Amino acid sequence: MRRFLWFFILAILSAGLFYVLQFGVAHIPPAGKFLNPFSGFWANAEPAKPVIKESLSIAGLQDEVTVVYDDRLVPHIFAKNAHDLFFAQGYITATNRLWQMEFQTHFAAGRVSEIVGEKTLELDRMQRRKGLMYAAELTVEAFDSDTLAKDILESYSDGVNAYISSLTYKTLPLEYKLLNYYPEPWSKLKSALLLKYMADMLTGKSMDIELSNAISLLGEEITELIYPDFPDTLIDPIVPVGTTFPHTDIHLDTPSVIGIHQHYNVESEKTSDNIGSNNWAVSGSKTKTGAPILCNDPHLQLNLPSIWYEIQLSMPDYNVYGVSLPGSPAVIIGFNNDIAWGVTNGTQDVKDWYKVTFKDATCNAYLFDHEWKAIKERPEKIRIKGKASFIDTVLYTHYGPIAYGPGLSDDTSSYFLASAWTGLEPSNELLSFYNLNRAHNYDEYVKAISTFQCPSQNFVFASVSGDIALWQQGKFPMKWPKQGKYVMDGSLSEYQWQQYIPQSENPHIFNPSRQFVSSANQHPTDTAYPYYYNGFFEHYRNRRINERLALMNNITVEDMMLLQNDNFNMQASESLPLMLRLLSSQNQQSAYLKTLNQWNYVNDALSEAATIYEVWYDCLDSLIWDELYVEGKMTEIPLEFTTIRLMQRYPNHSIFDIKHTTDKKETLDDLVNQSFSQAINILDDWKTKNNKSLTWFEYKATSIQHLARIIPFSATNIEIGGNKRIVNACDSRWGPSWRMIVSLENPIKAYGVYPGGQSGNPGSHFYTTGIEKWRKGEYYELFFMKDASDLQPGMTTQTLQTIKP
Amino acid sequence: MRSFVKILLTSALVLVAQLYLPWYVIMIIPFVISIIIKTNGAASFFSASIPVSFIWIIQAYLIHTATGDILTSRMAHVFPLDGSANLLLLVTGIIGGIASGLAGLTGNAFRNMLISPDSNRKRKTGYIPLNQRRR
Repeated sequence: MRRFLWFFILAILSAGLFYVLQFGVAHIPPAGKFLNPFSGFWANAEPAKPVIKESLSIAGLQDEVTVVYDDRLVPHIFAKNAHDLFFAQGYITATNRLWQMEFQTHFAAGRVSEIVGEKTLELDRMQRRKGLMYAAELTVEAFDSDTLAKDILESYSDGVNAYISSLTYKTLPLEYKLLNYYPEPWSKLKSALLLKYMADMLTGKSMDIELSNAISLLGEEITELIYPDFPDTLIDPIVPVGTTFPHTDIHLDTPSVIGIHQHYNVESEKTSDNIGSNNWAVSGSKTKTGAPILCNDPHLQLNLPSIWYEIQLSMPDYNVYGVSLPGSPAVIIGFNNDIAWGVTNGTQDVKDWYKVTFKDATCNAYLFDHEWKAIKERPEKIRIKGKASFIDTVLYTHYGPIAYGPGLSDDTSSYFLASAWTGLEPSNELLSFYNLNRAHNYDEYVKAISTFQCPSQNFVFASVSGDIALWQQGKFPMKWPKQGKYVMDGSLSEYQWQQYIPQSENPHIFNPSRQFVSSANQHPTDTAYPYYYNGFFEHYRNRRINERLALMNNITVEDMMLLQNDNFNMQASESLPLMLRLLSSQNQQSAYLKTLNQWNYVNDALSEAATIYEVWYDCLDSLIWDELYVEGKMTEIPLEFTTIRLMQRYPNHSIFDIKHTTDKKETLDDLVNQSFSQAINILDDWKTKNNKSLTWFEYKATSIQHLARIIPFSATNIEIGGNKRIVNACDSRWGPSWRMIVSLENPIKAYGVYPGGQSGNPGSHFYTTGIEKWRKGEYYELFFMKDASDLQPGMTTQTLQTIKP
Repeated sequence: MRSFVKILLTSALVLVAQLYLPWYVIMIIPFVISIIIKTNGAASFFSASIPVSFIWIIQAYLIHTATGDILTSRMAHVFPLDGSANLLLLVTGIIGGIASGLAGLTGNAFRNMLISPDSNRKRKTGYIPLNQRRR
């Protein structure tokens, strides 16, 4: 009996241990599986010299495909037909980036809780209320209605799935092992979700609610003063000032009241105000070689694995090099034998908010033009790791989904807000990229981008034949003045989007007399443009770039590299002299002041003056906008440019008064001095606490974080200068995600670098390849191969063979 | 001697099986071996845990050096072991050792339960307790 009991106890213990080591408990990965050095995480470690098999047999290919890897592991894919090209792109991309591809689409779809558990439930609910899955489903329908797009996406999916089906636990990407789940089959829907993920990141946030709150706090006059549609001074738009636009008759039903202003205390997601990018092209008359040069650096959140995957795609009549988005076929930013192109974000507001009036508490019908319109319900089942699923229902009006309302989130609102967003409409952005990849000239470029809807992008263009151009392309609602700047009444048709701006009238510029084109998220036009638009536009990077380009001649690729990495702080150059002048005598003794007085306004990595200025300006900015920091109220701090204009023009304006000091009316003078004392304290404390000098990069602490925020898989405290509003727009979390320079000589010469590496595997030596060069402002020369035999030193060839039945 | 045979057998089988089969062969193999080959409890535990720990640590160490520490250094922070690759190797060995040892011990107990314990006891102690004699 005792022996039986003894065995029984041991058997239970063994079984229990087996269970824990095989399946894991709570958030601890299954230790036996995971630690096993034969197939656990150890198996994901790769030797410094990559192992590239000479040939692979893959079911689903129609013909043989040659993949040449260069010394940075950039694949150059040579296929004989389109099916195999995009199949191979899917297969190769998945080999290097599968986990990232799937995680980003899970994020877009509101499915993160499936992987990490309940803590991301509110995030997932919000993602679903944005309607990204709904939009992705419409996008798949748009793909399917076009044979070409459908074929490309299906080939790509098949390639990804061929890789997924080859996986064993041993070859599974590390993050799946760590977070203990498995990849699903890829699909067109996932590619569509990726495009919506980008659209949401770039245009999914508009300030209507914040600006309505500002009106309820400060009144309409001050709100318009601090958030002007155009500043009261000259601006430097994409289409140069003085350009005439065709006269247009605009017939829009215009209401007498622009919006519904009340206290909307909704809990909105915070996004960076550093989403942006630079691109420009100079014509041959300004360059040393006589050929145009095109440059682009999109500023995105700095993540690992990198958002970009470098690739060359080649088949008969198609040869393109550039960066792709893992999860989408084709090249997004790049060049071919004839042209180069790049993108920056179009910053116009294309998402508007409507207050919806329901008939009763059942929320089945809402008021529209004096009638009750039926709501559409979309059930959303959110699976949660280790818990029962959460069932949500998202209500769709004809504008779009209701994102805020009683019971929909943590807020205590008594109103419902629905959004209309151009990203919710069916469109086929993929086809634009495919056609751009194979465009030979300006006309084909214009045709390729003409169907691109959302996110609106400034497509810069240059060709070997000598043309330069820039189109702001997107689907833009035609708006009456101030439409969509504030929350609007959803019950009346005159508030809805009535028409769209004809595509041919989107702001654009072709071979201008100034011999260069550029964009940096500034206003696309000056006030002469016939259509109303609003947004939070850039005012520094654009002016710095244009100033430099106008002065430069005999331009070389090296000059362009210096400009992309330019750390001149124009904002400081326009605000610091004023701030210093207002400083009282008792503040004149500070040692920090001496450093500031000697500053050349350059935010280099090692500058201490840059740190002092940035901290001081932030303190000043917070003091000035004290009236906007109100408990339970979502507001947006005005642009630095606007704030500095007000400092220069109206130093005694009531906005400079500090609200809670009722006995005193402060002016800018007081605020400058108060903020300087605050800054001294912050800087002193920081030095003591961190035991470091005040060098800008140490204070800024730029980090490139792993997508799932696994810190050991991240790169932290990177020695790099710059900041938002500076051409080298690198702040603590956002920055240039791909710097590219293309000289359109024949043959084309190109250079590029991104803060990451081709492999998404933290166990690969190619996980962080480019970071070092990127932070130093250096570039790789990009090998644009003519054909598969055009080999360079360090390249390795692999053949993908089809499995014959 | 029997323990020595067990160690050799476990090492050989685990080494081959690990290349093709899931990690839990390190539990199944010692369990079966301990049913077949008789040893005492302690020996059944250690004749499994020692070779498996050893194999796991050696294999992990080979990967660690062949890949230039690239992943080990990161994983030793994930766990968190303060970045120590040695500790990570040790943890790997301990987990493998405990799992295989416990399985060996369980196999031994299974054997003892099935096979008449009397002869066993008799030879070892030379004394059969009264209550068992009655049975």
